[in-house]
Amino acid sequence: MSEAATPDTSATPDESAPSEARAREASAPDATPEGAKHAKGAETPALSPRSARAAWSWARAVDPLIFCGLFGAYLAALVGTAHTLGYARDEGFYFHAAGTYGRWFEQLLSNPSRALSPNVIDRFWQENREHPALMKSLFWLSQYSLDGRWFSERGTSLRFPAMVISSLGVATTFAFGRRCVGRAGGIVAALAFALMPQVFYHSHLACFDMPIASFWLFVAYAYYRSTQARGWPWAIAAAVLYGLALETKHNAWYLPPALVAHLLAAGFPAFVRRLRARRSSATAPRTAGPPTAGLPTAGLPTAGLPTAGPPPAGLPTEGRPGLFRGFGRWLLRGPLALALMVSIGPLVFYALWPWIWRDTWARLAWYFEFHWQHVYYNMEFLGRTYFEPPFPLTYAPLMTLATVPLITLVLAACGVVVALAAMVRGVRTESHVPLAASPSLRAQASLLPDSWSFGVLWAACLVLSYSPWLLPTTPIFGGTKHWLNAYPFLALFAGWGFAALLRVLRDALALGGPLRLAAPWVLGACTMVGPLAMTWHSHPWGLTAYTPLVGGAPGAATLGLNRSFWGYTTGSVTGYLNDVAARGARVFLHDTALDSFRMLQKDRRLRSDLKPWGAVAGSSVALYHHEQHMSRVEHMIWVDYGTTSPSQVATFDGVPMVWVYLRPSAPAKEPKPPPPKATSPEPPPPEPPSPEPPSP
Amino acid sequence: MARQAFLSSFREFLARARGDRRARLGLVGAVALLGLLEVGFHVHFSRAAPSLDEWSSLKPLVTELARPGTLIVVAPEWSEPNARFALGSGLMPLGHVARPDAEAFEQALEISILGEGAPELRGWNLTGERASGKFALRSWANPSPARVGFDFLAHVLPRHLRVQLERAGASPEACAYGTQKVTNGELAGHPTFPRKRFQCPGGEWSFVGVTVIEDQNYRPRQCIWAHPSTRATLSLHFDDVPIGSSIVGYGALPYFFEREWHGAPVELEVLVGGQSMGSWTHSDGEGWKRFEFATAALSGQRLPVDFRVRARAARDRQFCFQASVR
Repeated sequence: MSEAATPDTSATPDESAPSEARAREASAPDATPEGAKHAKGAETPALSPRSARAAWSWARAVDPLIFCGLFGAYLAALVGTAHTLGYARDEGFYFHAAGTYGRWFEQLLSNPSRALSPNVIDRFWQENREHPALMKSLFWLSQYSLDGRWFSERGTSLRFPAMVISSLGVATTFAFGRRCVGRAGGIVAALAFALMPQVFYHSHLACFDMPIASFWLFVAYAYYRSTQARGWPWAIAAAVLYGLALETKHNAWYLPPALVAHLLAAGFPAFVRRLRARRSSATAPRTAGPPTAGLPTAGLPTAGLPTAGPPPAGLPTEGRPGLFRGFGRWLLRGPLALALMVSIGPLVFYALWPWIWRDTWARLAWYFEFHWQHVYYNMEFLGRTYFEPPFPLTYAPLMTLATVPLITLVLAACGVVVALAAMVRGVRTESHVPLAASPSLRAQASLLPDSWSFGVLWAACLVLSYSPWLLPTTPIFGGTKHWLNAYPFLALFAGWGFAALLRVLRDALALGGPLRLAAPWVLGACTMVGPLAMTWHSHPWGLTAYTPLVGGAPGAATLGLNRSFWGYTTGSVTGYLNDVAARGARVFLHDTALDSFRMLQKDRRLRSDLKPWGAVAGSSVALYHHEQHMSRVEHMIWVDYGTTSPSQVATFDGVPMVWVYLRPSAPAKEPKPPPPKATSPEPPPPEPPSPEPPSP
Repeated sequence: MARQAFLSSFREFLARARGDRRARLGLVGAVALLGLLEVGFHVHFSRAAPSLDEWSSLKPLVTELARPGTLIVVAPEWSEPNARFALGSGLMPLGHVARPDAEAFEQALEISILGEGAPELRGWNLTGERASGKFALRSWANPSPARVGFDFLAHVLPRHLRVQLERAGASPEACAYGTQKVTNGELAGHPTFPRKRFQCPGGEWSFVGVTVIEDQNYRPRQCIWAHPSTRATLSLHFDDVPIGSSIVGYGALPYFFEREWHGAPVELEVLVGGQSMGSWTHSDGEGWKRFEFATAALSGQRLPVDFRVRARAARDRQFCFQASVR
């Protein structure tokens, strides 16, 4: 088996595996993945060329169909349910910013020289400059082109780009999983990601949390593809996508360390080999002659050994040309993508954000500082409202346990076990390969399964996504949305776990024929029906969706876990307000942003005569969105309205979420209206001033 | 040796597990079963708590069980808004919902769902229990209810109370009772400044009146707003108070303002018949804190009671207290 004839086994089956193997994989409903194929070391049954071609054509067609199907179905579910979901506080600010940016774009089309003048850029782009421009620009573009054409509600047209990107995230999860752990695993990974109630909620919003989670995944996927054969176009794609990720949200800052961790881990086998060689040469003269047979691998897990393979990353072949070739391959397997990411990525980031075209460093420094020194808002956790450090280190893991379906977590745990087993197997194999073997034999013997590569990459992305919350100073006010970028990788591990269980099932029962085909469907239904039921049931109360592990929404309320934030639940009482509020009534908005309220009116979900009001005093209708620290607002209503009894309560599984008070009788003379405050995109900081400072 | 034995047994276990068909199938079956169980539990929990309609249908029964003055307590606490919606302010008035404590109540009706109980009623005597759908209604009797002889909060009216700012060497500045503009902040703002209040010289915040603040658990507490003044001592003078064995009360700032420990302590001095009973200090972070002054020596008399409130620095000292004669 010569090296020249050796296909790159780290590449995907459909790219470089023998046609029979590809066909075999394609024809299997759960299509054996790379890692699993290595692990099994199965014999490849011979297919007739015609059958192989047919199966290969089917394989080429079915995966894009599944990709498009997942994308389309999720997008349809999001668009179809958007009407019943109120607008979150931050959405209101982004709607407004999108409108402002849109006016600049219009000016750019009509009068480019004026639009590009520094003062005009600053005037339009200083709004909401704590976040880059990509998503808000897309929101405007979508509204500009689709409002009134595709969508009757303006809010849905503004939300549409984030929905598209989120749906692409789901479909890309399938693509990544399909490539690494097989078709069934890929589908389950995509479903596990899509069917997390909080993911479903955030996927609706004209915000950045799901888009950045998706961009994390896109970049990781492109980077992974760049580490495989013919990967350089993917390296460029990774760089451009990383620029877009930077342009989406600052979470992109800590993605490169995950990729660097992967790069280092990928080079680990070569490092160990060199270390062994150095020690070996120091203690004994190197034996000449390749023992091409009789490798002491008896009893070793040869499953991880490919049938043939090129020199692994970082392993120079003999001679100087081989060294260059080896270096070239190594360069293509990660460093090129990373180098392009740090060079092209910032250029994309700069090019798409007019605000930083001028005074660049100072504005970037302000942007960095804003997020690095972010103010602390309130968040209830286990009955206590945290508003300043130290924040509980158990927050992220417990909230993940409480909000992600347990079955998804269990499948992910299975996937992690399988991943660890694959890695251990690879390392053991590596450590038993005789150094005296010929380069090609060394190469094939020592090449760790591809699962080492994607396993490490997924784990690194998962860990890095959670890593900021290992610090007690990292704010927790946004709940699970902070680490949404971890969830695609959690779901991929779930897919891996599912694929492993499916293999166990088939092997143990020696299934064949229809049963073999039915097995993934049955097991998939058993494992995914729960997440589907929970996610569907959670709408439109996504932030209140807790899993049975904590007793659902009632159990979480009893435990003192945050019920909701952002004031989006006003969308659930619009019908009541339309029915009972007097004409021209002043509605105290509480936590709903002014622009979010106005969008409900533009969408005609709320009567246009209702007036948004910034204080309880002077209002005739008051909303109250419950958060523990906000109870004081309800107390204000009690004293002002003279009643403790809300006239309406909207509940989720019996848990009160938002309630409405009607002033029993209008005051004789209402005070001068305070204008609704144009506050920051998130709740105001907890440093209220004195009503009026006492005079000295 | 022990380590080797352990490793050997572990390897054997793994090998058996790998080779044991039943064990492998059991693992798959367990995961599949877990998936189905989770659906079952999801359905169970999503229907466990009563709906608003069920709460509303409870009103006749509660009306029957709760005699006037009965404290209605809801467990778990988060379901209380549903009870207030269904039962109305008549059964759950502000004075009950924002009570200083439950000591003065003789009877309580606990509305319990999901098997929860109200910690506040521990030590009370259970006198009856009824089940109605998803609810358990328990009647409780306070084994030793505190007898309130005079509730200062209920007497913040000009015929009982005189408010003034007192400065040494200067004549007191009276705080007139009347109708003022109702104001309130939003989340970061001040509590509702009531329409009827004793407005003092200074800012809008300088008044005495009844409002509600949140305590350290963000629960409501109805109290007398008594923001100290920098330039003077705020004095609340209640006439003709029947004196009992003690004056008991609580004081705090809205927790939103005191939780960061930025302000100066607030001092409350109590005088009965012109004689100081002592003073009590509230520091930031202490929350809804109890005070008690013994007045047994003067018990049975009707005397004026003065509350004097002062702070070294009065900024953000949104002090609010509640007191009663017992």
